[in-house]
Amino acid sequence: MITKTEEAKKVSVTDEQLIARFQVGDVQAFDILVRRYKDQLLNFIYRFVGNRSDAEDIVQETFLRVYKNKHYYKEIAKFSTWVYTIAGNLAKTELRRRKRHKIFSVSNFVNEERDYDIPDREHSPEKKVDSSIQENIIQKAIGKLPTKFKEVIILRDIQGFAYEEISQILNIPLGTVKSRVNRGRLKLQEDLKFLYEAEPKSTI
Amino acid sequence: MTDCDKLKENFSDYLDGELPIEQRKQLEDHFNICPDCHETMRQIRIIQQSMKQLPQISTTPNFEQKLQQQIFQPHQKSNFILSPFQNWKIPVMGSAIVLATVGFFLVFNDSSNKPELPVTNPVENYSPAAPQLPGSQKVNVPSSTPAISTPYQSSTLMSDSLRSDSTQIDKKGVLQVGNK
Repeated sequence: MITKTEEAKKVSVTDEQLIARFQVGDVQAFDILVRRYKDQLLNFIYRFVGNRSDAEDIVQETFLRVYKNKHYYKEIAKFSTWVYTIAGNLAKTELRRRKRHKIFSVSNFVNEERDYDIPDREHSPEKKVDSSIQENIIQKAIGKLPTKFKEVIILRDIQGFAYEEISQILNIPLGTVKSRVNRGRLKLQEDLKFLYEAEPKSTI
Repeated sequence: MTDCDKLKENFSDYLDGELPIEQRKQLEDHFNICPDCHETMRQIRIIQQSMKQLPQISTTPNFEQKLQQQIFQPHQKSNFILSPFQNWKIPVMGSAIVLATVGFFLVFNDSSNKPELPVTNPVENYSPAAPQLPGSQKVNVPSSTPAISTPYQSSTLMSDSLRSDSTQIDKKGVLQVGNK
C-alpha cells in the first residue's frame, strides 16, 4: 500500500518540477528524468539514425548535455520539448557526419546497394510479409526520407506528439510541420505501396 | 496542379480528423470517383498503423551506469563526439601542409632558375621577340611574398582544426529552447 502511494507520488511529480529540483542541486530528480525519458528518446533516435548503438550513444550525450546545461532550461518550455530538441539536434549532426563520411568512403558507397534489399515487388504480397521483415522495410523507407520529413514523421506517427509540440521541438511554424507531415506520409506511401497494394480486382 | 494533387494536400488533416466538414465531404466525394486517391489514402492509413506498432527497444542494462561514468569522468569524451571530425579534418590538414610545401618549393625554384634581368635595361622585358612563358610572369612578384603567405595559410588551417570548438556540436538547440 505504501509503495503504491509512493509510486503514485513519484508519477504525479511533473517533469518541470523535477528539472526545477535538479537545477537547485537535487541529483535524484535528474535520475528520475533519465528513467522517464531514456527509452522513449532511444526509440526516437533509433528510428532517426537507424542504428541502435549510435542511438544509445546519442541518448547518453543528450542526458550529459541536460546535466551540464541544466540552467539553460527555462520554465516557459516543457521539459520534453527541451530534451527532444537536444536529442534531435544531435541526431541530425550524426546524420550530417555520416553524409560527409559517405562522400569520402568508397566502401560505404559499394555497400549501400547491397544493403538496400527491398524484396521483389512481384513476390511480396502484403499477407506474406513477415512482421520483422516488414519492420525492416518500413525502417529503411523512413531512413530514405529527407531529414526534414523524417523528423516530423517520427515525432508524429511513431512517438505520437501533438503538432504544436513538434513545432516547438523543431522550432518551425505549425503550418510547416503539418505540410511536412503530409508530404512525408505521401512519400512513405509512394515508397511502400508495393507492400500494401490491394489484390487486383477481377474485371468481368 | 491536378485536382488529385490539390486534394492530396488535405490528406493528413483528413486522417487526423482536423479537416472542416465541407472539405471533408468534398474529399470523400472525390474518393468515390477516384480509385487512385482512395487507394493512396487506404495505404497511408495502413502505414500509419504499422508505424504505431513498430516494436519498442530499450536501453542496455548498464545505460545509467555508463551515464554516471560520463558525468563524473569529463576527460573521457564520448565516441559520438570524437568520431565525427577525425575522418576528414586530418586528411584535409595533411593535404594543406603538403600543398603548402610543394607550392613553397615551386615558387622558390621558379624564382631561382629565372635568368637575371639586367636592371639597367628594363626595355628588354617587353621585347616582342622573346615571348614570355606563363611561369615567367612570376618574375615580377617580390620573392618575399610567397615565403610569407604559404606558411600562413597552412598555419591558419592547422589552428582552425585544432580549435576546441571543432570537435563540439552546435549548442544552439540547447540555447534556443532554453531561451524561449
